[in-house]
Amino acid sequence: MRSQILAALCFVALTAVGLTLGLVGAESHADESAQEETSSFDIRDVIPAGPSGNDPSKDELFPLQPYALIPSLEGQVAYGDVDRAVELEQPIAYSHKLHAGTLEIACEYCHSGARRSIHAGVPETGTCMNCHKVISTTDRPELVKLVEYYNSGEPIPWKKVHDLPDFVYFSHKRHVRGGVKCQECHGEVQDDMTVATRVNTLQMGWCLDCHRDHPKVDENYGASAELRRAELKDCLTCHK
Amino acid sequence: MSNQENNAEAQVDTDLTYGQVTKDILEPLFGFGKIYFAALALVGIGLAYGGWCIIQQLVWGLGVAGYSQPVFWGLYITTFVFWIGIGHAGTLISAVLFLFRSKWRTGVYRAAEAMTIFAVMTAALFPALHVGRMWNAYWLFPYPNQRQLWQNFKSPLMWDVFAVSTYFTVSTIFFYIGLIPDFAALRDRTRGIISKMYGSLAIGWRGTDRQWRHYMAAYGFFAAFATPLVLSVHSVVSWDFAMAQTAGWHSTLFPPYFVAGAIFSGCAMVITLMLPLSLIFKWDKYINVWHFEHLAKMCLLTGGILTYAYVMEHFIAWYSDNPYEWGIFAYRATGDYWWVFWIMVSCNCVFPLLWWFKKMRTNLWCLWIVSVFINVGMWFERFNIIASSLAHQFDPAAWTYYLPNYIEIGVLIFSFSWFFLWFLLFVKVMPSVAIAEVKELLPPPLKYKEGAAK
Amino acid sequence: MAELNRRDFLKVLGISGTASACSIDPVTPIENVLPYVVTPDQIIPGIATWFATQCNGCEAGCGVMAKNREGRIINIQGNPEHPTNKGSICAKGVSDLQASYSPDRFDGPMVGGKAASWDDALEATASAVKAAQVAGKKIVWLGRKRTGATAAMTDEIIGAMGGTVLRWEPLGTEALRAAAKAVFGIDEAPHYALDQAHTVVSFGADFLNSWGNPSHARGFAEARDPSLCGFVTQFWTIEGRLSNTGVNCDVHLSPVPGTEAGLALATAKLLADKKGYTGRAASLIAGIDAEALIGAAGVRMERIVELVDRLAHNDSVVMPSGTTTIHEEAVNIATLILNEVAGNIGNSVVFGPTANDTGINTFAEVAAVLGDAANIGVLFLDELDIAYTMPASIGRAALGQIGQVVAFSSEPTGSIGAQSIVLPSGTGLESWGDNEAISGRHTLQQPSMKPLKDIRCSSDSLLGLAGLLGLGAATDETPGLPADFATYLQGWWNDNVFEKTDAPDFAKFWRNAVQTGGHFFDVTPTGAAVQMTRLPDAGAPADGTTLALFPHPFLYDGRHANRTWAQEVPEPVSGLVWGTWAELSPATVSNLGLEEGDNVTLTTDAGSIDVGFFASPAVRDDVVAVVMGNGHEGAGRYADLTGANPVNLLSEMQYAGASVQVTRAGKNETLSSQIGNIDQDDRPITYLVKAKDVGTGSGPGSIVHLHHPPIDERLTQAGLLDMYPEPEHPTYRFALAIDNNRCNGCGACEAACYAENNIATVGPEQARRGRHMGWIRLSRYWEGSGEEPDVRFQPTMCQQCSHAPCEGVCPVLATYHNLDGLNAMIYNRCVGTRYCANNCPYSARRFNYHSYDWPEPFHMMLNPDVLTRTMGVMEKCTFCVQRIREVKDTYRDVGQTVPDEALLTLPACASACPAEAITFGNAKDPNSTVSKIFQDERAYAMLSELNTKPGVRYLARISHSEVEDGQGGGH
Repeated sequence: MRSQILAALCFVALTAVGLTLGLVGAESHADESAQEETSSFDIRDVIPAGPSGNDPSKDELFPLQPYALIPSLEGQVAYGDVDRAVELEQPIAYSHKLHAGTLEIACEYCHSGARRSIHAGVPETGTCMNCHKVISTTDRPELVKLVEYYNSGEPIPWKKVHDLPDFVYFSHKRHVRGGVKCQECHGEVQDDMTVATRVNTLQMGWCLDCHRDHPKVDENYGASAELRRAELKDCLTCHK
Repeated sequence: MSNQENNAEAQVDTDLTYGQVTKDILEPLFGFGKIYFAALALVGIGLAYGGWCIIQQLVWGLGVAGYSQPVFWGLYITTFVFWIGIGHAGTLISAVLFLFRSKWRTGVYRAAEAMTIFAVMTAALFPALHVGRMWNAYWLFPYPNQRQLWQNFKSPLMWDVFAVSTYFTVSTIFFYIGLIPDFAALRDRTRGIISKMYGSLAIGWRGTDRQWRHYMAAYGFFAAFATPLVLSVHSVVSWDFAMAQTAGWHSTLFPPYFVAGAIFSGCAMVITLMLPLSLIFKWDKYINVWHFEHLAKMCLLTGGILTYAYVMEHFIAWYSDNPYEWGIFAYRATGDYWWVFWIMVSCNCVFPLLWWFKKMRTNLWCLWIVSVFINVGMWFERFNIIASSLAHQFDPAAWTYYLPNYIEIGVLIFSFSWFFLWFLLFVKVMPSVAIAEVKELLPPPLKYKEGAAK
Repeated sequence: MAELNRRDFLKVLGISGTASACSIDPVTPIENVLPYVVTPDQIIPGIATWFATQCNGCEAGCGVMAKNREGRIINIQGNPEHPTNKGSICAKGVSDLQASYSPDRFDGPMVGGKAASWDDALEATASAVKAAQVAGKKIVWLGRKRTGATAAMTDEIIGAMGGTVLRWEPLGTEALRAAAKAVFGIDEAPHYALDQAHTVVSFGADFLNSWGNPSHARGFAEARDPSLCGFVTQFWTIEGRLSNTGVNCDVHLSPVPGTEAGLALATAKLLADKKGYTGRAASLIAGIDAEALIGAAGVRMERIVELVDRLAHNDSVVMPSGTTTIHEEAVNIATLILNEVAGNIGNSVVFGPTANDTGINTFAEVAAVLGDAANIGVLFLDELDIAYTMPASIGRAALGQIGQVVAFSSEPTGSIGAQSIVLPSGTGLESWGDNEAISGRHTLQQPSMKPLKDIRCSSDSLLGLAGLLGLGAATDETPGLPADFATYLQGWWNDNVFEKTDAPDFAKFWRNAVQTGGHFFDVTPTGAAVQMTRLPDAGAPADGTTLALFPHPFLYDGRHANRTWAQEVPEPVSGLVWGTWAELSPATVSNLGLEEGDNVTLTTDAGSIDVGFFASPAVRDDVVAVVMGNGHEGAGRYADLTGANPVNLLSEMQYAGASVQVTRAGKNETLSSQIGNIDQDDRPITYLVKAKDVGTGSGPGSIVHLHHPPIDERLTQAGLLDMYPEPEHPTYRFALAIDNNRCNGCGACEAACYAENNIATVGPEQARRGRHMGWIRLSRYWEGSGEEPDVRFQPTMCQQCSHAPCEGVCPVLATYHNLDGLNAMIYNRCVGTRYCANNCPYSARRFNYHSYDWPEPFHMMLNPDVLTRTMGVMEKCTFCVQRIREVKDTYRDVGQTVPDEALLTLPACASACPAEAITFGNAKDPNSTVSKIFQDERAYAMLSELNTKPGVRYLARISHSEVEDGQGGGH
């Protein structure tokens, strides 16, 4: 008898919880699919935002964004656990090993922003063509693709391998000018990367490990290295 | 003092036998009435509506609530403090009064303690519910993380985290220890799987002398351990406000004032809960006017302290000649929130005065109604402190007026439903009166006397 | 440091392994990174490119710098090279950036309400023109003020079509020009130089704000700055209400509407008698009965005597009337005569470097043409919304009858009907153009980004049209019209600008002009001699309650109504956002029994509208002032959203004078005030110092503390005030100095802040709920009343306290004090307990109650250096930390600390401020400008008694009033 009552009580409690999780689940699913292709499901149909607006008529004027309560589990981990960093299928099977390794082209020849800007920059198609105008492209499918892209005037849709979250301010300029080698973060692309892959977590802790005691700091700042290290641990240095 | 006097004082009818006691108190655990199911249904509705409001908030953000800058805290923190306050009476009655050996606690302390734990469980919902990004609320706990970040131990909110969790842990343990002998009794009264469950909870209690000796030692120890928490927890909670710079919060008066208020509301809540309970379960032998009268006296004392605190607050604010301080207190009494202020004063300072008359504090109706008023009043006290101070911050150019909207009310309802859900659960699975301790008050059963329990 | 403790702690526990185990992986969908195919030169991804161009926010023709990041203009700042605004920019100019990203823009040409190709659209237009020519109907061009090559080409082509060109500005200087013509025989609105005037008298002109010339604001600020000129100008305003300019006055005289002209003449008369003036105007004012006129105006004689005395002994300038003045022309004539008598003509009131109004028509001329609209075959509308800005009897009536309307506009307006042909002209950021809005100041507009839509600037469309009509073809004597406007522009500049210079080579001259934003000649100011022989009728006083329309400081004549920034930056005087309101006197409010949030119905013989209200302590009981700018129809989603159009109350084009009935109506659904209280409730929030005390003080804040004793220094020395030591600032302590005495409450800082920091606009409903997100609160305290209103502005942003109350209470260290003295706010660490905001005595923090999204294409305008905050996160000002980061980075390359001059106007608010009231710098360096200002005798920290040690200091406003400043007292 008592157990029946217990069941009854748990039922009441669980309806509330279940209601929550159910809607939440549905909502996050909708949100996730919305990221890829358009989804028929709209959280606004299920949960109107109550008194403070999101009356659908006003949506397009002052849209509110619902929160994705459960992050989608698809896609690649743009930063975080390295084991989950997969080799991405790039539009053109470009080999760093060949260009940077065998041919010993300097990184900054293509990634020309690295010393000047916060972005290292993915090279314009024109840069590739500087050489591939003269290097035979016939009967080499990857290069054929390249030429097609170049002539079509469409940008090559490279996939991001190192994708820092939006709240991070990262300046290639500072790191390169500080004497940090590209490989320290991007791995030995010239030796063992036919396709570039992420070899570091790119997580805050990983950044801090260098910001705390990178030998270059002492080299560059000498007497004021202590101060510089303190600056490097200031949250505002990397967070927008 | 002699056993006889004790019993006389304890108002327990000495003709009772151990067997009778056990039977009476365990009676409600077997079989159910309509009232119970009605209550259950109410709770269910409350949870459903409140749950819907909470989802709103999760998906669309706190904006669905009635907040208006610069009022960044409102009903949620009010209710958090309210429930923490409710909790206090339980520990006070069970631990402090135990140490003082006051007999009248016996009848009520078990339920009061249960109330404590459930109140804390309810209060604990709110810090999570009120933060902007509750999915990140776990950042408030110091755990090793890849960010290599640490919390800010200067922040009163961090102190809260520790104060409340400690309080919850200790009172739960204390509660459980008190229950051990009664679990044993239940074990012996039940059969099958359920019996095994209680058996495991009773951790092999046989009631031997050695066990009793150790038991009493442990119980006394935890009583002593819990006692300081009665003072500490609500002091820490009060620091959420007292440590802030906001006029009307920034006051050294707060800790004692909050503790007194907590006990005040807690005792009132015990009356509100136990009075119907004792009537429904016909426990007048164990919980009766005599107990409630003591609780009422407790309220009179703490209520007096509270009233004094109110007066002092306003006096000091006026005397300080600080425009912000006095601005706030004048505003509370006469400004947009006058109604909150006067509900608070009448419920906390005026109505309880009835209890100065014995006639009144022994009249069940008067007891119950006034106790409910006190609960209402204490909720509005917290609302008064939080809303009015924030609505009139230092810079008049930023003033505003805040009222909770239906979402917040929904969450308030959720909290009450949540609390009563656990309480209803409790009365059906655990004895709401401490069997063992009631027995202590009875004359020991003698071999030749009839009707002695085993 | 916290992390270090943590590390040791981890070492001790030896669970560093757990650390990584507990790390939570954010899972993100794979993003693409799209490189250029061929990178345009001068573009480096991640580095901003600046283009000098012109501002189209109003007709002042300021020069601006457009900031281009990755191909999109994300911000607009003043062009320091430009003589008109000298690097400052107003709220209108900033908001105009949104024009390019408006979600309501036309995607391309439209014919009869349907999308069409450019060829079809131009064909349709051409045939309409031909038809009109055949039918002998008029071809009319009606547009905004245009000058320079843009105007020249329009005139040429429309002329060739046999059409007439009309240009008209709803808030133009028509009345002033007419007055100048009448008095001096010069058809020019004079230029007023305020910077040397000991006394400024205004008869209602809103010259600091909507009068569209930032030089006034700067001049006025300089005249008020004792450190510059050794005196503080005294500002008298004589009007029936207080405009956004008027609230800065020392003395407010409120004459009976319609008697201003008489009052000015009476003053002139008294002044002439006092000075023994015998100039050419003497005969004009000889027969004036001063007492009678002053009596009629209902102004105290003593005040006028005092004023006359000041005018007699000091340099002065008398400003003309404003839109809220009845008989504007008569008043302006009177003010010019008063200036003449005061000896200002040729000194502070000059001709020459003035608004270049050649080819600008009077409304009478425009109305005459629109009058017989039936005979108009084709009407070219150049961005002018005649349906909104003109009385319905003229504007709408005409539109009904016109054969074919051809609209050059990038957004819909009320004047564009279903049958109109729309030739989207794009915005100033997308096309070539120029202006000479002020004589001699040739400003260039260059395309600074790729057009978002399929547009052609109106000039190019005209060229196309000319081609179709076979106009301007090359003949042997004329070279004919070029293929595109860019070429025409260069040609025109070659003939009209380059020729006047002594530059050797046009190519070099042109490149230089494009780089500096134009070419600016110094026109020598000249005086003028009075030509007038007899005074015109001064006009009769109004009877009953009169209506007075005034321009919204940001929406202006309504052209910015579709800009959410202009809508959501609170109107400085009333603090109201989103809607139209009437200024009513407190007496009127109580008579009607109005409560906050009520509507009133205004009724004139022309029509009636429902608007909200603002109980202004300064408006006369018999005046109802209504703000223009809102209440559009078919002019875009934000413009249509709120308010009512007060122009519908006018039967003829007179902004003031119509008699109006006010009655109580229902509740207002959109309007909400962002200013909590009318005054500072006797609290010491903002201070006032007496003009007589200025210069007598020694040490920081000394004269402020004459009335408000500071914290006892002995306590500080005894260490009784500080529980924690002062935080370390090894290199920088960034700080802001705000001169309340220079600040005139124009709101430019607020708008600039919105643009720079991706601040969400939340809309009327959220604003009413108190979720307004602006980081700067332009606090307005209305302390005085009657003749001495004593209105004080105090821009309040995060004060970057050294002992910040917010920092201690954040449980997760999302906000903390950094090495540069900034009160850092790390958005993605914030869990949103909001304790910090509760504990901020300045109420400077804002909370994201929702994730406010940006409707496309607004998102293209976002500043990539600033995170867009999402739901549940606290946000606030950090002195534009992204700009600080950038400038520090630049100087780190050369191993230097950032010098003072690189910091002065670094934050968006400081760079925008037209009054140059905001100064930024490094307080750690004792020689920096801020450090010096911090030492000023007027310097004080807001709520200093809380000992928060803010990084912001204010310079107290200077008052000429003799009334003791009782506010707050010293607690």
